[in-house]
Amino acid sequence: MSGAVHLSFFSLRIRLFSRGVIYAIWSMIISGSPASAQQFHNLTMLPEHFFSIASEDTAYVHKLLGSAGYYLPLHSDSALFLYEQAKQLSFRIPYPDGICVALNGISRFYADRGDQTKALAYLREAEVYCKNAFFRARSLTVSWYQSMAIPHTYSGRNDSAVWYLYRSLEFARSLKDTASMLAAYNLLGTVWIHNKDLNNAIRYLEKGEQLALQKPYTDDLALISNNLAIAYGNLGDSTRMLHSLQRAATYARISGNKRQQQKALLNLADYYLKGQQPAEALRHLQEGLSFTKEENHTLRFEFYYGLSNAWHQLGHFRKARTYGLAAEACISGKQLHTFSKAYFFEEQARICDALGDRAGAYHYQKLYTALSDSLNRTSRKGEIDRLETMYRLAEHEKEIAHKEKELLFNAAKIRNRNIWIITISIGALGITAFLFGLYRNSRRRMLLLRQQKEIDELKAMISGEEKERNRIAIDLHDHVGGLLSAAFYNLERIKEENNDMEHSHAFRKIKSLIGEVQYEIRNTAHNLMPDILIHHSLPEAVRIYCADMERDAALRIDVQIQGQFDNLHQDFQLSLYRIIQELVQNILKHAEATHVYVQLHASSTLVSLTVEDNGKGFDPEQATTQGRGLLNIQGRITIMNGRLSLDTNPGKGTSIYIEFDLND
Amino acid sequence: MSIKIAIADDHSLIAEGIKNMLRYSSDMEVIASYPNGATLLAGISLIRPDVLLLDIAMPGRQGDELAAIISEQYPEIKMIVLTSTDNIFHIRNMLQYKNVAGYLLKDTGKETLEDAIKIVYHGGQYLGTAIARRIREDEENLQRQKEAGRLLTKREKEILQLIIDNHTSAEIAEILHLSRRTVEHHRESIFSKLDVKKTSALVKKALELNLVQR
Repeated sequence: MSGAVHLSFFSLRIRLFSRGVIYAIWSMIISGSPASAQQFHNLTMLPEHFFSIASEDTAYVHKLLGSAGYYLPLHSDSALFLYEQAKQLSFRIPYPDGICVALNGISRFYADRGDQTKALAYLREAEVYCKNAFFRARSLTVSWYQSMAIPHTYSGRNDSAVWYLYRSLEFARSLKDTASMLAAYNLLGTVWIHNKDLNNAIRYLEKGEQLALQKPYTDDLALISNNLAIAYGNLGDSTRMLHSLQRAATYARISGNKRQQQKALLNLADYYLKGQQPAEALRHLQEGLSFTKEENHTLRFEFYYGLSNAWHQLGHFRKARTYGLAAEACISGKQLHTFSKAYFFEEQARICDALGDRAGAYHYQKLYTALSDSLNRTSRKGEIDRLETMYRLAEHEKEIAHKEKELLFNAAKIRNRNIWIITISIGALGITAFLFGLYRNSRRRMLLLRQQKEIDELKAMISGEEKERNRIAIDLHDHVGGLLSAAFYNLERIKEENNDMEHSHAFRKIKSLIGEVQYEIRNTAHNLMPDILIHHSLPEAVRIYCADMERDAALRIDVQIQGQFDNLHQDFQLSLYRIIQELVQNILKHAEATHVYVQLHASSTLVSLTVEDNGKGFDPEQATTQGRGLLNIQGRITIMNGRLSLDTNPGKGTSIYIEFDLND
Repeated sequence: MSIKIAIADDHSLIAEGIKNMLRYSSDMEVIASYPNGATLLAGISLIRPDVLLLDIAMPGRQGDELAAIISEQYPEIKMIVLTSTDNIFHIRNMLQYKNVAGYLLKDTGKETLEDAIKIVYHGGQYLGTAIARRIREDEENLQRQKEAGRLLTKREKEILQLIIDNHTSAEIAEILHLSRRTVEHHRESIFSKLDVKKTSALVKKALELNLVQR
């Protein structure tokens, strides 16, 4: 029975290497089973902000892409045809998302055919459509990066593959796109397995596992567990491999992912065959075979081959031979160059031998020898490629280390230079300050300095105030206002769904309350942030502000504006607007006026503002509230290089005249 | 053939709300929604809506800039401004663009929105009642402010009186304790308001209008 052990051991390794990577990558991106892949194909599932284009054309594109994804591992030619159809239709619509997915699929068809140049060419073409996709640019870009890893993995350029996967991981992480992150971890795991860096592979797969468990994504968990099993198997840790396979089978069963379940069951059977437990193997193989479709020849071959092997171990040669024939029927006429096939022939030779069928034994032995020779050549070449890649990666890391060292060295150099610059600057500043101090050492100068400082503080305060107002206005208008509008639309929808709602008093009350709050927010936000208006035209902004005030308060405001304001500095215009706002508010609050007159006048050397009202007036010598309101404006006027004069008396109304020099 | 509608609004909730609202409308269909100007321009280059519901305040390019670009490049796309600001400046600013055929506030109900879309789609113009009222009020205000042009401030009346009493600017400055420049500034304003060039004409007009005593 030692032959059987040898055989099953190899068949496990076969799945791990020649097909492990291909399956893992495919099943992740193409087959459409795990969460990420589902998103990739099912373009109707769109993230927030986006709606599907509900037209029939795009729906048809989605259908084509879905079928293509399904057929790719089974009938790749049909898949190619479907992808081409989807591509042409998407170009006609035009529909970049469809183009992106179709080109990705075509690329993978060629990658699988071994034409990596063509595969890459299609991906290059896809890049612009994926990155500028109509609905899902961000997640399609993540998928594109993952697709790029595939031809690179196939052609042995694992370093490039890893680079693309890191990019996709970073991107997915920034989008908080768990599904794509999972796909990236899984692909990284498979590429590391391919490169026989098993510890790294396990590290990434376990990260993926942690992430998938949070949700939990059983679909992805099945895939991850299968890949972990491959990694553990290659490390020779058969206990962990077994546990992973059992988990994979369970997860796949829960999520209904047939492909992963088949894979787990096959590998479990391999494990038991290797451990001389044919009865256990039989159970798993029969389970797997029971739901493997007739047209899936490759998988059915594997199951029949496993059954043949198990019956062989149990000593039932005739049964073993029957399943052997069934397995052979699955692969007859198919180009299938794998180690499985070679070892299958070898095993059939043994079974025929045990049955006394010399001719059959000779026939299979011959097939085995021919196939295994050619496969050994390929495998040797693969090994050389792998060693080359590892060398390249090592060189790459050395280069990175070298660059880092250089960077550190440069940083040290810059630090040294900076110390010198700082020392000299401080010295120069010290001398300047000393001379300056000597020069300015008089009381008058000190006084001027203090005044300047006060003005600077005021300026800073006002500019800070403007910024704060701006922030609050944006918060109010954009965020609070946005939420309110959303609430309003949802109310409308409730009405739509419940006809009697319209008659509910409370419902109508809520609607009118929302309307009032929206109105208040609009006004407040606008008063806080008039800069868009001023940016266009200060006179227009002032006129509109006064018209708004007139409407809200029972008061007549006449506005007269003369001269050109466009050339004035933006800050100056905003300050003028604020002064007018404060003066008008002051009148509304305290003056009991019925008529206000606002006049702005710009001549070549002066800008003046006059605000008059017919209200109750006040005694400028007394500290009245109306007078105190003016003090707030005084600060602004000082830093704007202006002067205020006040003409008022109790019962005589108020006239305020403010004048600014335009010389500086 | 249903009316194809696209939405440009940076609040996904609002875009969703509108979509929900129009879900049961048989003759219109929301085909796309864009969170900013860049995706909007990219999107309509591929799929043309019949009617675009456009917000004004968005990150990046603002609604007015987008309305200008779309009017220029896609004359077949009609736009309705759907925003939360009823400021007359924004209303006028947006309506100046060729393809902006409607302006509605975000508290517009379903029926009104549907009506507006249909009217605009068929080549008409639709303004919400509040918006139409706002425009009318503003026109009245504009007209009134033009007429208010002859009002003089208290200080201007003083100076006009002194001019009529034959004082020079230097004298007026001294009498009123003002700088010469300030007096010149007021003179300029008075001449401009009464629409005259010479002092003799000013005196005549002021007397005619009964602004001063001789």
